[in-house]
Amino acid sequence: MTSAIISTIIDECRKFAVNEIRSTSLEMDLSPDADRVRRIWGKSSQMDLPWLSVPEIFSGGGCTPLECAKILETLAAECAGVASIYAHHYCACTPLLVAHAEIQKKWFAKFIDPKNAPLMASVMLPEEFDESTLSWTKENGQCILNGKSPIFGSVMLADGFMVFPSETGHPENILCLWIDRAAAGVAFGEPLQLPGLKINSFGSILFNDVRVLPDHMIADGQAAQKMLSAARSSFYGFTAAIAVGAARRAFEKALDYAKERYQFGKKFILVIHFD
Amino acid sequence: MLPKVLEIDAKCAKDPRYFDWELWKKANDIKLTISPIPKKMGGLGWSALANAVLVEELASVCLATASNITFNTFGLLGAMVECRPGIVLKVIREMVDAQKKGKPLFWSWAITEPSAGTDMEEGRAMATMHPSTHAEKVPGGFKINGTKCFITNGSLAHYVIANIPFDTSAPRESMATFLIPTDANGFSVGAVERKCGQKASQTAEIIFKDVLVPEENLWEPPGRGLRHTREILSITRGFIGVAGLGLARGALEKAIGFAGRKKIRDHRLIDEEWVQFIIADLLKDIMTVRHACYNFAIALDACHVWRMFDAFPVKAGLNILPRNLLLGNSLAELAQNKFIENIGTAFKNKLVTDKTVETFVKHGSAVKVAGTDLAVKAANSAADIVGLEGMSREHGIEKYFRDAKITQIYEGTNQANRMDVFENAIRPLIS
Repeated sequence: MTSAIISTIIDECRKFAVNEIRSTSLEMDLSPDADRVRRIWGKSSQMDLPWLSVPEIFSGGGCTPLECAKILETLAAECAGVASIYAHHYCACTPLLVAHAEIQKKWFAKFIDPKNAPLMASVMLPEEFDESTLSWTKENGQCILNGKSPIFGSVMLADGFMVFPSETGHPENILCLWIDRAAAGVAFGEPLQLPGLKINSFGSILFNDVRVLPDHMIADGQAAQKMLSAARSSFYGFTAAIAVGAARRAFEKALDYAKERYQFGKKFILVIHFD
Repeated sequence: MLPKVLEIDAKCAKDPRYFDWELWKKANDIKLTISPIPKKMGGLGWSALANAVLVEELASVCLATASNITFNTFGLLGAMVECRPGIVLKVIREMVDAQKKGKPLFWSWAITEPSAGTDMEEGRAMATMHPSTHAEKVPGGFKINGTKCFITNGSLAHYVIANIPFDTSAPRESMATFLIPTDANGFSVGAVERKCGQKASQTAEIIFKDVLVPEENLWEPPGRGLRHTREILSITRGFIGVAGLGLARGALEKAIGFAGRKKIRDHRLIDEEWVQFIIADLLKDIMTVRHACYNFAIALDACHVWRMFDAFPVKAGLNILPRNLLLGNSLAELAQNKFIENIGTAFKNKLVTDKTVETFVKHGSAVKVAGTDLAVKAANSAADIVGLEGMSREHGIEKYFRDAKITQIYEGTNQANRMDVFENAIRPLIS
């Protein structure tokens, strides 16, 4: 993608963020509302925002991780909570970017299905200090999930989740799976009530004998490790991009204020020291 | 407080005007709302040091609730700074009477204006500010107009102690201090702010529209308003430092509790060495800042307005005179005599000189910055320890995080306080 095109995309994203997110971001903070998120998500799909990280050959936007990060920064300048929903979605797409072409074709087609409402995905990334007990076993050749997932975002919003469980008794043996929100045995508790990013919902999912559909097994072994690594790297980068967006907006707001505010006998921005 | 503060915080998030009177009444029943008033007159007779302990303890649970309880003493503080016996006795009588009846009697200190925050607290800044409030002499008193903002308890106050200039083009030279009853015609409350933290403490805009106040409510004449502000700041800034200390301790205690309960595989979170280092570092800071805070409070007892309670004429009066006479009409009327008022002011000014005030501003500012920076550091470190799960509302730690930041901003921003430390400690040496 040329730099001119990506500049255009970022400009469009900025317009979208200003028109669709800015006016409601304070309200979303006071009263987080999943329907409002859905409306924003739906509108953003008209400009292919959810699919920007998907390769162009699969009808996506073909943006690189760096370009996705710039877009997330742009969204976060208006609302970091909304941007974090897109970040979780992009990260859920990331494992597929390192998958075989056949897997990519199948899953990106599921993600970008013009017949259905735009799908929202999220990803569960195991962390060193989480209390996740999520693990898998095999019974008659079928993978079964049990336990509590790590804490992650979009838990009450996403239609499905990219999951990386370890095998019971063999923590190094991980799988990469897709779990539909409506899968039997999946239970949702109350999301965490965090002081920020309120429009997103963070929490854990409980798995009780969740039987994974065979075609929802995406990878195992080294391939799954590679996917987890890719998802984790992109998540860290995307989170940093969101933080930069929020920081930039905070800086801009402070700058505007300092240009208007009169203190110590002059415009505040002109106060170098008090003398 | 502990079982209720999260629920109160949530209610205030929905409605900034919500106030938990039940909790306040419990504090009032045990006289925490009038703690510095001498025992003989119905209070607890607590020293500045005892009040510092009170503030630390309450703030370790909820700083907003702590200020709801302890800011009630603001009237007494303002009156003591004036030290006109008629005013002091009137204020004490009203406070004791209200406490006995279980009725609230709130005082607000109204300094900040839409166009002037820190400007109201420092001489050279005040000289160049653009005030929005204005006082005018009229027959029988004064007419006040304008708006004050970010006023703690402004929406609840029965009295406002306000600094208002007579000449907006010469604010420093004309700044005066008024006592304004909030039931006066023309007084109204504007917006109650939605803050990120300390939600249970109401912060409001107050509006004066042709408010008439009688002559006797002019506490400081034009040109003396800044002195009044500086003297109050010389006391209150140190207490905000104490409040920051309490908040830091509360946040750390919550984080330790969480880390002790939280299991990671085969061990507890608190068994992690990185967690132990954070805790030890904060404990070190808390111990150090506590020494500074309590030294400051001891100095208030020894050298500032609290010293008056130990001064011979006051101590003798409190010992000899019966309580009903101390709180009776005859003494109050006698105390309003101009000659006695002047003696009271002169007596206090001898005990608390301009130099004393500026020395306490310097030390109070240092304590304020140390305590409130520690509050933010501790709340931040607590968040680092407990992670996403521990930052969920029900654990109470995120509330400390939200509450802490505001302490760096009010009672003079920490930047302004640092300037006061420099101006008082170093400027005289280099000028």
